[in-house]
Amino acid sequence: MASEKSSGVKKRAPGVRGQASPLKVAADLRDLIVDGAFKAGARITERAVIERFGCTAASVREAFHLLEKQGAIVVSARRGARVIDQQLAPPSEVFLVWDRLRWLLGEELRRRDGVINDEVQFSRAGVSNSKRLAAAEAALNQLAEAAQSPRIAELMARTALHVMIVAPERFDEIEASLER
Amino acid sequence: MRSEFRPDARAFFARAETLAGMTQGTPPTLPGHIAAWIADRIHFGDFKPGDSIRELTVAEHFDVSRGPVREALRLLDRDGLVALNGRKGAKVRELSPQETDGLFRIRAELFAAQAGLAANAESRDPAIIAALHDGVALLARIASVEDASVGDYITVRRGISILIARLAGADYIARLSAALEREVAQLWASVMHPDRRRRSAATWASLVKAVANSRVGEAERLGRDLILDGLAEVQRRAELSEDPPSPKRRPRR
Repeated sequence: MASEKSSGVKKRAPGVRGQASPLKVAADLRDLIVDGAFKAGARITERAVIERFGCTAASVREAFHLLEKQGAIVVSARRGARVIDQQLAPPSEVFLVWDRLRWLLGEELRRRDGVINDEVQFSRAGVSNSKRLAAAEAALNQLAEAAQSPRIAELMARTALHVMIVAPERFDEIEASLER
Repeated sequence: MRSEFRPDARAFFARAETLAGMTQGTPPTLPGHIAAWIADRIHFGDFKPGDSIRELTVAEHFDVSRGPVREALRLLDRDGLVALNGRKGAKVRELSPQETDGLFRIRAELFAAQAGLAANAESRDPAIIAALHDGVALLARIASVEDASVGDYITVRRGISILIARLAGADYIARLSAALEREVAQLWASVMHPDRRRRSAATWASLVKAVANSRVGEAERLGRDLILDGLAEVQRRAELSEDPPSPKRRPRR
């Protein structure tokens, strides 16, 4: 799925406020997280987000809510927003979940006689983490449609996101399992 | 409203929480407390799928402002129990047959994984094994009472799940399956009829035995079966409620 985002220009002109929608802020924040601007376990303050995106505090909270729903961060009343880390998402468990769900998706595909038209092939070298994640998600969407199992794919996308945050060096295992 | 619990069901749950080390956590915030109350109402069948939950009504019940209620509904929306409905409040989420099918199949795999890990764990706290045996015995007792409350049964079941998750030592998977379980729990009240409760209690007992005796494959299979059996029951119910031809409505002139 092609992203419309033009390359790299993410800083807003100073003084422009209240323009970025929570959805956009959440999407951009997620890219920043997987591309390493906010590392696993890092705290994200409302203030930092407001400064970067020039949006309102209400939009930030809504964006945090969306990101928490996707599993990228955890928000607590006391400690604010934090990127998930290896303690919250130990790679061994994340991969165990991924393997089970991958197997299940294959079963569902068979059960519903789903057909996939395109061979999936990912390009890895020189591609940013956010782009690699987006490519994996696109492949998952396609599989989900063929297997009529949106929920499994959604959870796999969450798991893939976790891998990209806590063990990016192992993301090729995710890609390999989707290329099969 | 069935908010009364048998003291033994509640005591077992408290014991499970303590053994699993879940009570040292920070006390819930006000929104968290309100969210838990609403979740229970949904799980025990007092709020039905599609029902509106009005901010004002809940705020009045707790004698608080609408702020914490809104926050509670946000938490429940994140967890997929309700769907936020603009400024008005929220609706209890309605699961489509397809969503239900997907959710149960995922849960079956995750629970099978947990049961397998629990059976395979190297060192196991004998106190947890003892509590598990007590838990399935209590579950069987509750299942044998024809008009036992759904809340009691679910409470004990939750306690057993917590203990198995603890043995498995896989918190990430446990949190994931607990979250998925919360999503489908709205269906329990309708499928927890006495017959199924007895059958299900017997399978839980076999599962605990398999876990206690380190029979990994059997534990996995029973764990998966337990969840898939629930799915079969939900689907059977759905067919039953669709099957009888609804009385034909006369077109109004």
